[in-house]
Amino acid sequence: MSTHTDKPPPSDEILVRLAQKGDMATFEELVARHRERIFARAFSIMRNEEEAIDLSQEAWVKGWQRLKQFHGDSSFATWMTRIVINLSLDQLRKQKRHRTESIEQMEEEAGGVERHMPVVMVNPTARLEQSELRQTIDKAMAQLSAEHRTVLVLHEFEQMEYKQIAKVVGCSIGTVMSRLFYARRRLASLLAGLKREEER
Amino acid sequence: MIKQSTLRFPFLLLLSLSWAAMGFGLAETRAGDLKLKTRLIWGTDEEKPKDKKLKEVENKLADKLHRFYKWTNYFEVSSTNVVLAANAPQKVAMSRKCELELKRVDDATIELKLVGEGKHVKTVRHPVKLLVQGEYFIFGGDDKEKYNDAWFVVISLATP
Amino acid sequence: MNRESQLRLQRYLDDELAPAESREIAELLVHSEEAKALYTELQAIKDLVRGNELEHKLTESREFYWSKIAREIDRNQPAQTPAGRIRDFSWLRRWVLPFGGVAALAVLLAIALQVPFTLRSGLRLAEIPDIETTADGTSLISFRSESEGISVVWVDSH
Repeated sequence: MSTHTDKPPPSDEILVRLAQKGDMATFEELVARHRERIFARAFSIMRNEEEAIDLSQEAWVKGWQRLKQFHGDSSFATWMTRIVINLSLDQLRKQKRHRTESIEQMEEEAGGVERHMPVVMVNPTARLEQSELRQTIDKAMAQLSAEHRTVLVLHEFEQMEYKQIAKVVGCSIGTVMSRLFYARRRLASLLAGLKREEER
Repeated sequence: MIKQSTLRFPFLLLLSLSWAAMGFGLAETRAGDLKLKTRLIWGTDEEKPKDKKLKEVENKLADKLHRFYKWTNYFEVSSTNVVLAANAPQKVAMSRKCELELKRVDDATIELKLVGEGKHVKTVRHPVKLLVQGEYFIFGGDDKEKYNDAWFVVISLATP
Repeated sequence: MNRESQLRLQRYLDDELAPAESREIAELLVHSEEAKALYTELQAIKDLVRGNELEHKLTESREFYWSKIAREIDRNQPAQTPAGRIRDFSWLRRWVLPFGGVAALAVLLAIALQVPFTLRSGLRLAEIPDIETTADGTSLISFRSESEGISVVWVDSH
């Protein structure tokens, strides 16, 4: 068979360099490689498939337009993830300005209740299969407000520090800490609740 | 000429109707005292406790609360009708810890002051017109003593 | 435990504390059952979430997904209009646009004079100032749903 099929696929760096010169085909290859990750991050924040698809596509358009500003300080995937996170947060802010509902989120945002929450059992998801466990955690995360979920996503999935989160979200480190604390405690309580439901 | 007057007639009619409607609306809020209903509502996922005298919230309000909030049940803890006249502020004790002060600022505005445990919590000014139209004004917050419960102070026009 | 201690515990968990403070928390965890229980819960949740992100898969095919991106990129490319064509219509921009603007203003003015009441009588709810708050230490979140006929002030008394 032809030898070129045995070659390892070109690295992101090479593809980015070609795309920076205006090669759309290589950019499309980059999109194909990372589209799932970019979509998943938008979805984890927005929890709406259509919106997440739109935002991820918008992120790729922005990525193309700003490609020359990418100097390889982080990986290309991380750079693109930051773009989609920023777009998702912008979208949330716009929705918040026009929002006349979802008061549940206000309740959470007001904060404070987490202090009164009883500590729940350490592993509320014990005995679950890995896929079940992931689904259960995802289900619980979907019940958090966008603000709390975002901080959790940025901290646990993107492994950002408090300071970075504060910068991206546009709030104080104190707010990041409070939201993270609330999100974790609420999640513990939700997971315990979900487990109780399953046991019934 | 005829054409012009036919065009003008509906406009003038609309104009006079608008004036009339506006005048009627103003007169309604200016003439009598404002009769309001203030309620303390408990939002909870718990079932109705047997030992407490709680009332189910009427469907119209319950639907709205369900539309915006997550709690399964909304129970009326207390309810007081208030007649609010100009220059005569009213105080309503919603519970042992919560008090509501109501005042007419002018014909079009009322001031609602929430006092919790003797401390001023929040004062808001709200258009009378919205209440007259049947809207609800609500102060809400988390129950500090009971995790996952909430309280609502609901102000609406008293039904005759 | 007060809120500050709880948040310090969390900072310890997330490795966001200075070494001296970390030692204090480590000490606290040895002696306080309450702190230990909370720390265990926070750590369990952190570990659970960190390693278990559900993969949400795109339902769109590679081609379909890319086609929208490609269209947007094309749409946003600066138009390659020949300079001559711009010159051909420059008179149009110079004269028609200002006149068009004046005409639009005139129409708006006419509409404003014709139907003053829907705009000024206060019948339009959007014109009504929603909620006025006095300044004090309590933060709040307020909203109004016109369709549901409900105004809410959510009090954050913490």
